[in-house]
Amino acid sequence: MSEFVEKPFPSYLEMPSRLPAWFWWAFRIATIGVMLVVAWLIATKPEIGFAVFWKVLIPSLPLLFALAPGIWRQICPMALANQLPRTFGFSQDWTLPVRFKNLAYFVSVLAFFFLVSLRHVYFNKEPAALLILIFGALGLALLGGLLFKGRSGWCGTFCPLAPIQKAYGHAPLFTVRNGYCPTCVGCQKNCYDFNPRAAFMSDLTDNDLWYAGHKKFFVAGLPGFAIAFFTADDPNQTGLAPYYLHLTGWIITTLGLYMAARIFIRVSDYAAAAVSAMAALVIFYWFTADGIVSTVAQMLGMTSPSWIKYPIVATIALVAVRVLVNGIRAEKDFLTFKAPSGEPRVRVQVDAVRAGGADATGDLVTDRASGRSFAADPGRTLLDGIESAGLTQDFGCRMGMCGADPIAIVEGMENLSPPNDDELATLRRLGLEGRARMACVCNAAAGPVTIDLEIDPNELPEPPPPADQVDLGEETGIQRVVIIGNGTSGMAAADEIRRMSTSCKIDVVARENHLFYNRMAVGRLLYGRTGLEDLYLMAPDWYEKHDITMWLNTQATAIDREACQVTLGTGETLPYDRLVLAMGSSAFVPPAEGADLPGCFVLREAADVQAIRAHRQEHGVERAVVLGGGVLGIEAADALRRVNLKTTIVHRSDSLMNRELDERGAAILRHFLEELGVDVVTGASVAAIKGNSRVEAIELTNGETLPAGIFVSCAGVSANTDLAGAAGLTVGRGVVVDAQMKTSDDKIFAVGDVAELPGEVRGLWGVGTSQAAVAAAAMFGKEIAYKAPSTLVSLKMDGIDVKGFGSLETEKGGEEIMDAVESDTLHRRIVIDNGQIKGAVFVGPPGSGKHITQAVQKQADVTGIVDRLRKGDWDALSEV
Amino acid sequence: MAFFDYPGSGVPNPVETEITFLADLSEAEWARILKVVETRQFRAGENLIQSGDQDDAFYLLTSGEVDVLIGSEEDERIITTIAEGSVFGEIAFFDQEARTATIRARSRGSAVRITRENFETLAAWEPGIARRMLVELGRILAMRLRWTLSIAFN
Ligand SMILES: Cc1cc2nc3c(=O)[nH]c(=O)nc-3n(C[C@H](O)[C@H](O)[C@H](O)COP(=O)(O)OP(=O)(O)OC[C@H]3O[C@@H](n4cnc5c(N)ncnc54)[C@H](O)[C@@H]3O)c2cc1C
Ligand code: SF4
Ligand code: FES
Repeated sequence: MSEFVEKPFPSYLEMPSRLPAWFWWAFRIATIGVMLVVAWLIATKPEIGFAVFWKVLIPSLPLLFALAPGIWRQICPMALANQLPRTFGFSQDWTLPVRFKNLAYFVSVLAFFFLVSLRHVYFNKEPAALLILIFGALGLALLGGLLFKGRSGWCGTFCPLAPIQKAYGHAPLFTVRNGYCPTCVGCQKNCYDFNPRAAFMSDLTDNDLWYAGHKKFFVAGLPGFAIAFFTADDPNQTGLAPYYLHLTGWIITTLGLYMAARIFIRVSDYAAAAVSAMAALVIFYWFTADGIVSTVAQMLGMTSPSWIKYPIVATIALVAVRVLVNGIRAEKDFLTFKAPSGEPRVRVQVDAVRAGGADATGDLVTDRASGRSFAADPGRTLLDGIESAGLTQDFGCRMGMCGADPIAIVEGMENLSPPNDDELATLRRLGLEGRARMACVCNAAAGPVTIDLEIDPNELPEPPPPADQVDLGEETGIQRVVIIGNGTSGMAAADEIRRMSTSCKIDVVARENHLFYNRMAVGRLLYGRTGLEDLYLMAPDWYEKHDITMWLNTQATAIDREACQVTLGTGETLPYDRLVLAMGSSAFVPPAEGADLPGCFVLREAADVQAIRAHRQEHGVERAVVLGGGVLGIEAADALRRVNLKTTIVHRSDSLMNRELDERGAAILRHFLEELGVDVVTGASVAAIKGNSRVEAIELTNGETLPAGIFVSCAGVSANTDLAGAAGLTVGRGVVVDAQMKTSDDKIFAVGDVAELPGEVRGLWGVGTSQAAVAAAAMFGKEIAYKAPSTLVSLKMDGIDVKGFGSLETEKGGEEIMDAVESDTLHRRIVIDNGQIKGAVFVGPPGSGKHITQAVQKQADVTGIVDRLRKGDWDALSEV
Repeated sequence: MAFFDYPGSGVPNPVETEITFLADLSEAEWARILKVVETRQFRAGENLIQSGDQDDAFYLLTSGEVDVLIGSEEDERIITTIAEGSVFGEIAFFDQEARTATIRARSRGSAVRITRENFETLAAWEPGIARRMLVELGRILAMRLRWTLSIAFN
């Protein structure tokens, strides 16, 4: 019993032998003896022999099978005959072919039905027939044992008694250890002698439905067969045909009932089979109980009372119920244990992963809408955290300047790092000062924070009341300002001017048919699900609230400086007191043959990206070439790669991003791109663009020809100075301005990409924003100094950190600090002069340049940490 | 458990049931992986994976416990609970088909999330580690397949 507790389905090898082997041998020999005596009786005194055999011995077997089938399997004379060759070592030990293993049960079932049916015909009354049956069976069992190994020649396979043993003994109340197999040779499928409790359940749940079906057929037909057998008229009088019709009719009847019940009652195959088998058991004793008792009584010279049948059948019914309960309980365990010891598990060594940086113990930053959180990490911006949590957030400059990623701070504002000047300016422009933060530049330094990615203006705290201000427009008489261009510099100018004067009329003329959007992120329109509206940087009602008149889809075609008016493409004119030029720049297109073919693009405006997208889809383009290995070109190539275009970057210089990076940094970047499948050709440019009706190949100056259906020029920009030039303003590479952003005409200012402020960096987002503030002030007679924004350049590409800043020259003084060991994956270099960072290059996996951005933006004095930097402690940068 | 694994029948139980994912990686190597993948923190009740979603990440559960649920929203059933240290979701990582179950946190915890894109990035930076990771993922799939076959044809 103790085994049973541990293992509900022990195999015979795991069962104790409760009785010694000699006992079983004695028992077997005794059984043979009884059999021989009965056979002798049948031969000599058929009257008594038949009664003993058919009325007593055989009818006792079903009960034995239900209670302890193992006893019979130990002492069965056929088993003994079958096992003699094995025991004495003269068996052929053949393996029963699989087909027969699967078919054996069915054969034995048919044999059972057939032989039993012959009882009424021969075996019940003809001694010779019965003796032939008995000794024939013994002979076949012996033959099976001579030929086949284990018990596969008879006991578990062809023996006609085997099905009935399995059916009644499907959940034996007592198990007895298999006494014949000293070692198991695995001779049959789902061996009943190996695992008596599991055999029948395994058969019924076998994946071979045909095989399992044989079991179901037998148990379903058995009750009908029992009824038919005991109610049949004597075939010797009626003839065989009606007799067999009667038998098969009943078999089919209970088979049909069984199947109907299976359709309407939801029970398992096993439960259904068990109920059917137990019903057959009870039916059997209903018909045989009287015979057994009266025969025994007669032999003892007594008479049996006529009611005796009822208590016997009731007892049998109790046994049947007990077996059913036993089986149905066991079935639960069976199903649990049937699965190979549990689903396979894959584990990871949590300690190592956690030590590597995935820790869950600190404070969290939580996005209110999605409920998602990420770790509050002072070394990581909220934008990085948001992205790492799988949330989507638009972004642009990642430096707090463009205004693409404001997030509302629902709770924990005090736990965030304080904003710097750039961020404050951006928040002010967005009207979110003190009410939100730019995710790209703040981090949760001190505790938990709850954020909203979508800002609901109604939920924000009240904006601070506008300071009582003089309306500078009224004071200076400047009442009409026209701005040409609605990029960042134009819109920043509109915003600044409105702050200084509420009365002044502001018109913005914009060639594109879109409200102010995040130009830096247009690449994302190519892949992903970003729509143009997602890139809008001002709420749609901002324009109305600020009383700004937008002229979208309208080109300014001429400036009449005499009349102080701007002519529009529509023919209308707009008079101005002051004019702001913010026309930005246009992408440079190489003057190569074929540059006007369909398939040649630039990347400057939303419309450019939409055109690339359309062209790619329309023509099923698979390859692309990008001219230019600067930031813009690499970002373009990344976008093209993401829509599965095989992309090659062609770069004139010998190393990528040569203006910002040194060779080592560029090499790491190049390797990374190549690993992602972007090819890079350096030291070459475009010689010609080939194709009949559209781009088909790009010929390079190095002689190579690259097949490509899309060509994108990202090789620099030129300021949109035509209008200004035609109006007679001084124009160099841009519209030349003074420190107040004033052009050669006092009434006209220029800002952003279109302006050229001698000695200052151009072509960056933050430049236009800063210049707009200077121009707006100057317009109303106030001088503020232009403060160039930080010019740290960072590549906006997932999976790599690339930062370049200033100049790496040390000829005129300054100290250079670099990673001591050259690595293929990380390069950090910094030039410090007089405690100031003059230049820097950081290239590596994400996070590699996290501290340099802040240090550069703060323009911090790094004297105190130089020693630590020299020792390679780059984290020191976070402490300045 | 097999009920009929006959001794001496020469058919070994083919199913390995526990694999340690990237057992030989050092902490430093894990740190390099973590640079390019996502680490997600979650609270009790939060869904890490939503049935029907198209999300091609596999997960390493670094702390906490999660339930696996199947069925429609009205008729959800927990089919199993996954403990800290488990690896899951690798099938969609390969075939990028929709998720068939929802994974919901039982407790506060954290998970490392590795998308296909993350993997590409990892392969670019750490080809050696990425190759090992891929073989390991193959080994996991093979083990699960063997297991499935063993129940289908036991
Ligand atoms: C893909 C991409 C990525 C970039 N990434 C970065 C980055 O990471 N960091 C960074 O600092 N900078 C980046 N830049 C550069 C940055 O976007 C520009 O410096 C900035 O947009 C300049 O702003 P602007 O307002 O001066 O000009 P623009 O944004 O070019 O706006 C000028 C507008 O004026 C319109 N216009 C021109 N002529 C007329 C006319 N005659 N009549 C009416 N309208 C007219 C144009 O159509 C345009 O809409 C990137 C640029 C691109 C294209
Ligand atoms: S399978 Fe094993 S236990 Fe069963 S009869 Fe064959 S040898 Fe004996
Ligand atoms: S991305 Fe944050 S302000 Fe530009």
